[in-house]
Amino acid sequence: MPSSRNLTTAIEGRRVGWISRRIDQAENRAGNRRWYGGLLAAVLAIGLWWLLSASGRFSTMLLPSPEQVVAAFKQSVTTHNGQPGILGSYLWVHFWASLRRVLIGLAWGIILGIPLGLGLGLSRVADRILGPVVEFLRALPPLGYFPLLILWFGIGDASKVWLLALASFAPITIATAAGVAGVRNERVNAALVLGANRFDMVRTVILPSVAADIITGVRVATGFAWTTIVAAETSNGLPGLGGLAWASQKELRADIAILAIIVIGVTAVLSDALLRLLERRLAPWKGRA
Amino acid sequence: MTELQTHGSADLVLDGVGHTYQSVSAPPVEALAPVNLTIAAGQFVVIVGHSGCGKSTLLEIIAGLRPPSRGRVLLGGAEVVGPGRRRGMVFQQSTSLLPWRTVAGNVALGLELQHLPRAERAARIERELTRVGLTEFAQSKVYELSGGMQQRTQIARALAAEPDLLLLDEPFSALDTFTRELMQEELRTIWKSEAKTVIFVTHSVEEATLLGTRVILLSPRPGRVIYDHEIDFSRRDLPLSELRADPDVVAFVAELRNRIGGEKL
Repeated sequence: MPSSRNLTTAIEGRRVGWISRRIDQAENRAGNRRWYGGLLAAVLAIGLWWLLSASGRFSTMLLPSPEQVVAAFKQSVTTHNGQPGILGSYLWVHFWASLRRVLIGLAWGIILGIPLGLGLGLSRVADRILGPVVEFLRALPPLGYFPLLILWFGIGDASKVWLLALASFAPITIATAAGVAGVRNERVNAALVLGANRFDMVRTVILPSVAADIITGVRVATGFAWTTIVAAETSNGLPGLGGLAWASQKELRADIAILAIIVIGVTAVLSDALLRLLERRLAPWKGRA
Repeated sequence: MTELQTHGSADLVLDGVGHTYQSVSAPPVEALAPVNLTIAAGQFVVIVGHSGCGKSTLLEIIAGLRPPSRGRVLLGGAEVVGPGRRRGMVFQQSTSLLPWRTVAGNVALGLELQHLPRAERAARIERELTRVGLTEFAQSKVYELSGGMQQRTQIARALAAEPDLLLLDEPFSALDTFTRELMQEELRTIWKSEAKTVIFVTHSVEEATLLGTRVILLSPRPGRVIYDHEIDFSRRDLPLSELRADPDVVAFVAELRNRIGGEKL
């Protein structure tokens, strides 16, 4: 018997390593381990880009080399002939201008979206009346109503912030309402039996239950806000990353466009990771209870 | 002390209580035929029936979580119109616990909702956690506990609010056999020391026999009372493990099984 173990060559059963690894990951909540996958993808993409530009088959005007983009980055953070950075401002000024718009727009989206989502989730009447309105607004491409906002609020920051608030409140509202609808009945009943009134219920059961759903909505809204802001900054968007990318076209500077894209992409990935972290912090019991 | 004062005043009367589930897309389903029952304070009533016999519906109606389609529920002469602190409840699923709160935090929920002073809250939490043996786990996260400990937390949460009536909806049905037997013993001890009225829903005839002072059998849908009998095995000074093997108990379990099986279809 003992020796047969060493002699065996046949195997019984199917190896299911991939699925047990998935389960392990879910249990360890080791989402952070994904970073090296992202790093690998970035290295591959830069390598491919470098190969294509080094092959000389494409004009450096249309496909700048990584070195050119690095040079554009250096230009964007230094002063040249008394001119700060690139297209009138340092890179961080462009970055902060966009980030600030996104943050203010998101803040309004959150301030509007959470109470509205709670209302839709808690009241059937509100859901019947306002639900279709929210769905309608969500279905609209934000840039479709941007001209209206410019007419109403001017070409300054106000119209851009309004655009972002309108674009981001719908996903937050919908995620919050869905979270409320998904609150376990037993939880609500348990609080009712212990004497909870409506206000107690929202405070002690509903809000903590949907906190993670709200963050999911904010994550979706953040991605949406970044894509929207860049497009919105194509009109009077300097300083701003979208304005930077757009103006590079007139200057025939593809290197600047790529620089702007990289900054936007990295920011979006980082903010998403931050919100995922928050999501896990707020609901570590997800998938376990 | 206090339990003596509530005696007599906490009789529960079900007066023609029945329930029919209405649905937009399907014909209405009569879950519970009109039930008339009087449950005296201090009784341990076990309601037994097949799945879908309306026993959980009946418990929800008593808790005030579901208005009955017919009839009314009276507690100490007052009509039950909604949930209230005099009726505590332990649910089948431990998902009724709040996972963002610790064990102590969950026990505290009802006390916070009553706006009890901090010292009183702490004293009651301490008392109930000691009673169910979870003192060491006061600061543990509920989702990290075993199923038995989660149900103990639920019992502590219900008892901390000091209800007259304790309603339990198949509280041990999701537990393994050993834990279930342990929990049955603990619940019996709690009931003996507190002299509370207990209404316990289960589909186990053995559980009913071991714990109850009164067993009520419900027929399959729509639920009707087909048998209502007072017993006293649980009052005997024997651990449940020995009681289980007692010939009287075995015979009564067999009789219940026979009665409930005979009503099937």
